[in-house]
Amino acid sequence: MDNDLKKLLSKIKEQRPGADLELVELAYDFAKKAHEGQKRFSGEPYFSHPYNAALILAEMKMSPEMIVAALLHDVVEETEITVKDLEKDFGADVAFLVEGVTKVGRVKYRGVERYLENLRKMFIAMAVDLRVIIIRFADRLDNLRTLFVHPREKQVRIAQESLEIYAPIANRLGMGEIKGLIEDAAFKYALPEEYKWVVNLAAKKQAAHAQYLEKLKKQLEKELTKNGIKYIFVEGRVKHFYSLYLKLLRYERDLTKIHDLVALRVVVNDTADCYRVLGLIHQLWAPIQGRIKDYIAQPKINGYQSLHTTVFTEEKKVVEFQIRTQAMHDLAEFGVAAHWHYDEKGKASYRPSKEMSWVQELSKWKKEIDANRKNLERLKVDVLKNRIFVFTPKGDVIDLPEEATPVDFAYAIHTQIGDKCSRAYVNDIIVNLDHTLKNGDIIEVLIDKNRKGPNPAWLKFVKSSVARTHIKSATKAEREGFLSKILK
Amino acid sequence: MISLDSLKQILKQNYPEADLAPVDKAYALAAERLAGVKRGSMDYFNHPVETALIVAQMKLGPETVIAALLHDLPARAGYSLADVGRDFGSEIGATIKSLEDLGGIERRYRGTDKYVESAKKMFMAVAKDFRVLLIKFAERLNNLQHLETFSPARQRILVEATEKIFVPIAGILGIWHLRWQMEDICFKFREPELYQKIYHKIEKGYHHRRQAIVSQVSKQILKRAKTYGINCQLSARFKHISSIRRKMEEKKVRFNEIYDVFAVRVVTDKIENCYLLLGVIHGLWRPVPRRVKDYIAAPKPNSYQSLHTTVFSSDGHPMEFQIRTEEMHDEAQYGVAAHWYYKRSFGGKKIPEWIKDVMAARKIYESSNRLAEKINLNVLTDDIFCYTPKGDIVELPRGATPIDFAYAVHSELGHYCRGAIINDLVAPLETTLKNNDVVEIIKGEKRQPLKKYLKLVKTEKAKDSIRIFYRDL
Repeated sequence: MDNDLKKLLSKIKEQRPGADLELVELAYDFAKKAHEGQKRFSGEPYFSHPYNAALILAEMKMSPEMIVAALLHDVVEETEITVKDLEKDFGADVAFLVEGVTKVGRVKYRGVERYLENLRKMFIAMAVDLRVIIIRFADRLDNLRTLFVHPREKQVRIAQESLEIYAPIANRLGMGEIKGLIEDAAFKYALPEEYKWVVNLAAKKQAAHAQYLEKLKKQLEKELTKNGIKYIFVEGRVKHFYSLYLKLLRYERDLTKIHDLVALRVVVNDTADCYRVLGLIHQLWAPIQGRIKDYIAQPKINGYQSLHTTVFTEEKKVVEFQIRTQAMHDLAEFGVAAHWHYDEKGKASYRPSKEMSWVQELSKWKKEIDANRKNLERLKVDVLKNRIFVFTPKGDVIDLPEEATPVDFAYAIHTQIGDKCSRAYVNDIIVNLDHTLKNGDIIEVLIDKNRKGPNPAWLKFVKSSVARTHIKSATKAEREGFLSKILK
Repeated sequence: MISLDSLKQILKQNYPEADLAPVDKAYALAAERLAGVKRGSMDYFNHPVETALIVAQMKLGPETVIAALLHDLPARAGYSLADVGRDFGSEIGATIKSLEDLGGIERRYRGTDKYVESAKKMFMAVAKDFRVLLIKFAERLNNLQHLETFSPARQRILVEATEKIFVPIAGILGIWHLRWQMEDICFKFREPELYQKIYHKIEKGYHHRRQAIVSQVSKQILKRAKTYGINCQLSARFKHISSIRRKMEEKKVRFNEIYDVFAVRVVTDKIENCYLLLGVIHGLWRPVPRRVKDYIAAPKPNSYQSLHTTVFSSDGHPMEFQIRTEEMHDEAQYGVAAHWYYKRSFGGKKIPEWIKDVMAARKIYESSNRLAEKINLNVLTDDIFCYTPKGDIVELPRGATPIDFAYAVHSELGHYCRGAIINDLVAPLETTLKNNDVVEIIKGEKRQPLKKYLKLVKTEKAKDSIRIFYRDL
């Protein structure tokens, strides 16, 4: 057995003890042989790519089937082997996954069209089985890591696509770890100057902070033990460069204003202990009011759960703490895939849940491509834009695109409410209908029952496609109604 | 005799070992001496008894209760201070003497110009013995509760003096329970129609709902708390009418949208359980973002402690919870009085900042009259507290601007001040600072405050520093 295979198998054993490794060995040999003689752009044997992708998945605790599919993911596209062949040797499940990640054939499409068709195919496949997109994440991450051998133009295209499509999808699936890795790998190529700036700015400070965190960690561990609170582990976490960069842009590029450059994570046994630890931390260090965030009781849109708090330490340093259970921790790192880790064989559903309606929206994406075919330089998909979540007065969560307005909110609740909305209260203060909503706002929309329909001027400020479509169609209907009246 | 019984019952609860025979004696004496005395249509005797009840509820001890029972006798019933000293001990005699002095100050009260002077004298008395002031507050509240027994002219003076002197001082001392009640009565006197309007809305719209919700909410919380082995009591708290009105004015919000028109208090035994109860409550209802406030770990400037959160309740109205220990609860209601009960003195470490300020003001008063005026003025407004980016607290009067902040940190920083970043956002120097703002001062090249700053600053320190800068130039 060669060393690479040994490494892969031991990684799987480490992350998922008891996994069936026979098929992995088989796939390894099969793919290696199939790609024999093929070279990557860098001159390495081609097989190193599917192999690295498989390794990434193994580190993410993914199942053997997914690792097998990753090993085989390019054989259909790059060799004479067909999906049918794979089904015979590796079963329907693996064959299905490989087909899902295989890019469209060369003949039919070219250039931009081929690129878009690939994306569309991926979106459709993931609406049926989310594992497909996760294998593509691993595939993409390895491509990003070897991007340096490619011409500048390709580097930028791949990097931008990673930042605009792959990372947002990983984020919406709650897969924080792979999202961070993809973003950081792409950042370097998409915005090389900015990347250098952030690295120079943060690296030194992060190193100093890391040392300080180590000290705080020991102190906290001691206090936890003293107070009889059992914990699984306490660890420092360093912010990924790209998310730090985005935050810096929001804070005038001033690093001193970023308070979560480093953070301490405390992982405990149950939810009650999370609150106990919050209390303990606050008794040790003074919290900053307004920075206590309970994502346990109110998870983020992507399912992320944790208690966050920011404190002033004795040395007057500002430090963020993230307190969570092991299950919440896995969810934060692996998102939707965390649910599969503990699953008994066969019971897991890989289909997106009902709440993930955005996946369905993505799979219907075709129409938008057609309409926008000409300006694809910076491709952005509506549902992958940054989202905010706001509340109805009853506490129902409504998820909207960034910079959405009360009108978007009204349409998200019901078309009738949108059509007839007249005024809005945001956190009990009356605002204009074009007011920009913020994360966590509580919104109440008042309707005017006598109102005929939406104001076409709203089109200037609404952000969601739902609102836009309804306003357009309602104003059109009104015009037609008016026309037919005078024509009668 | 019902009043005597309830008086003794409260005392017994808070001071199980105290000898209550002198209380019986004082009660009987007051009853005898004040028999037949009337104020308006009311038996005068009710006044010292009700005052004593308020004092006892503040968890003050038997001596203070006796002083409250006897406080009117020297002036009204020919029972002299010497008699008090002989029958009840010199300490109680001295307390009543101080009370009379305070009353004298107030009788001379004739309008706003005298206000500062009176307030200062009150503080002098406070510094001698806080209990005197607490009896005085109780007595004042009781007079306000029977406002109709006074002549119209006297009513006006009572209300005005209360607004100008008692309410602000009660706020500073943290005696919220009395402060709100006094303020509500004054509000009712000043604007009876608006008062009735809000009162009516509360009665009609909320009171009823409150009972139902609290009992339902309590059941759910108690059930969960039990599984963690936590003991706690729940009670509803209504926001006071004058504070509802102030909030409606300040924030331009609608009446029914003021979250904490009613809040639920959860009182438990230890700090750890406060946090567990936060978890229990958040597990039952979804929290409203940005509304969790930990005043246990970071107490308010007046030393108020509680864990606050607001949740979306099942009927669609946000509901505020205030979670605290019993000790915090008493302190929140009775401020300085609770300190008296729990610590019996202010010796030791836990002297609240504002008491230190009062002490300091007193010292300065003795050395320089002019300075004391300024300091007391600052002390009497509701102060706000801001942070430097490093977390140091800077205390400022309401209405202060970033320039005041800069001068409060250091006069040199004030001279260089050219801009400010408030809560990570660049803000104009005219901005009025709010409680808990984190303020960072942007320094200019030149050491020279702009003359227009004089118009923007609120603190004497900033004004003086700017004036001195230009005088010395």
